[in-house]
Amino acid sequence: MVKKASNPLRWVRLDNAAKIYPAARRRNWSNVFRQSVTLFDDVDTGVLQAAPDVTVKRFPSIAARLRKGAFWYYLQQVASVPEIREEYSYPLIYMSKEEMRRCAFRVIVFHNRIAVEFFHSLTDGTGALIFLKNLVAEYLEEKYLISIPFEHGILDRRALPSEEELEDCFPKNAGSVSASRRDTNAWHMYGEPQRDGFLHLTCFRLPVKEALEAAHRHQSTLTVFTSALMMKALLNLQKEKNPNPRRQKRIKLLIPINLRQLFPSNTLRNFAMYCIPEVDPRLGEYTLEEICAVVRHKMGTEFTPKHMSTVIATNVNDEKNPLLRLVPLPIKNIVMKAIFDSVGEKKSCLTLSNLGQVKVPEVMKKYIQRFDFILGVQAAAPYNCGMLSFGDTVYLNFIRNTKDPELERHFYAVLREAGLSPTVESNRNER
Amino acid sequence: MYCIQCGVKLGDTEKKCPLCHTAVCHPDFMERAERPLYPKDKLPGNNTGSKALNGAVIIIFFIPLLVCFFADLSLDGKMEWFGYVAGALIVSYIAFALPLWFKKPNPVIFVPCNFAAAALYLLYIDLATGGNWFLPFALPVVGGI
Repeated sequence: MVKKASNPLRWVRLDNAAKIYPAARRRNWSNVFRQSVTLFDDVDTGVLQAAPDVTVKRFPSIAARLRKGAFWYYLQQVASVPEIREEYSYPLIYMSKEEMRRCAFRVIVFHNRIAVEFFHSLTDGTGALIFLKNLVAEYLEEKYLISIPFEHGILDRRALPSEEELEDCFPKNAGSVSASRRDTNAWHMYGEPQRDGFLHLTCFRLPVKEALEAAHRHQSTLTVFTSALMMKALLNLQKEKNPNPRRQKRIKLLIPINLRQLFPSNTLRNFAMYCIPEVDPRLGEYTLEEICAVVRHKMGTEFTPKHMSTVIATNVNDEKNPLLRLVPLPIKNIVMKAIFDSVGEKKSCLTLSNLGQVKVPEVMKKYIQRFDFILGVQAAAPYNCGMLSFGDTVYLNFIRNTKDPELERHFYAVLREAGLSPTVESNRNER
Repeated sequence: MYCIQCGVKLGDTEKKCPLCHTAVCHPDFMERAERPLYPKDKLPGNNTGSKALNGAVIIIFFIPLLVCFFADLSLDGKMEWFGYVAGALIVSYIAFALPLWFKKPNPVIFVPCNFAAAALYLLYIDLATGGNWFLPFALPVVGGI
């Protein structure tokens, strides 16, 4: 729903998936994720500061600030571009309410890296990637005076945004039958917390060719294979912490799914759902093949338009509930936060989000070294993992707010057993 | 470059293994001018303490204040001893709770503040009781320390 009032700044309602995020915020946590692009040359901040001016007008639903109405939050296009920020020692610094009210995304530059951090209500990973690519395309065009064709997500930035791009696609794809939300709880990860809010980033780099070969050996796609590796690492970690199999909890992984692949849509708002494969360690040891099969079949049955329409229907029906709609926003927030805290993150150990292969027009390739996708940690659990591939490398970014890299160690061991040899990097500077 | 402890291949910028914290040391690779992924020791500034904790402390101080106020009033309809209680609570709030508002309370500021608050409280008691001991005794003791 988009309205154009006398005020030329556009505003849009939060889409169905975005509604939970403002309510779920905490004093030290908000759902923010980062996408970054690393160039070969250092970034010229003077030129870059001019690039968002064009991009901001093209993406009124992403370049936006979060505002409060009487009954719902809404997004309003920002009038001017926020200042480019400097990088801190760790990504995804807490985004406060005040900051979201000014602007719910940030552009951060560090030497040759342009990073954009988005509050999740603005868009999902796919929409954010399109925004980032266009920002970089605009910068490259201005800096190197090249012309970049409108392909692989690069849009005509002088054109007006189409209504299709600003549409909330959930309601129109909701089925007539709604799915049950009942689900079992997962193992809750824990560790010695990092008190000062520092987030540890560990990046595993893998050659795409080797990773794909290994995945195909297990009759899997890269997403399925990596998810299986992650679940194996989680099983091993739980076993190390709690050796008695009868007292172990289920290992579940939340895998976000891009609904644009199932339903025809060009939206730049949130349009993703998830699938949660699970294994129960009480039933015995799992081999990697078994876990691959579990993930593959779970995704096979659930990643269909029919099933997804039932899941969407559940969420859309809640949104349409007249009782909920009538309640003023502060009370709504309390209710939604209570639901999020009691249900939200208990159903999975962590999120493994795969953006897939990032494609850019051929002319841009020689300027770009790599892309990165970093999720924020969960509100109550210490880990999350974002993944993408660019060129001939897969980048897996683990983020954690505990001191010891336990899961990373287990994940590395599992990778080695699968015959893969990663290169590891981190934001640890002799801390 | 590989970690000598866990064998993982390390990025060029790593000074310690991200997985097992083993220092990367190889005499041939001492001078590595690679840029780190993130700047060193650049943390977001945070000058305020926990808001929730401070709010809770204020409430804890406020409850006895209110109870004493109504107790004093209801006993005989006049204010008699409430001022002493209120003064004592204010002095103790300044001494113990006020520094919590700051991440790094500076003692050069807070210690004289405590003495000033104590002196004012004593002055109040002196005036309220008509003791005439503030100037000759209490002020030199408080100020002298």
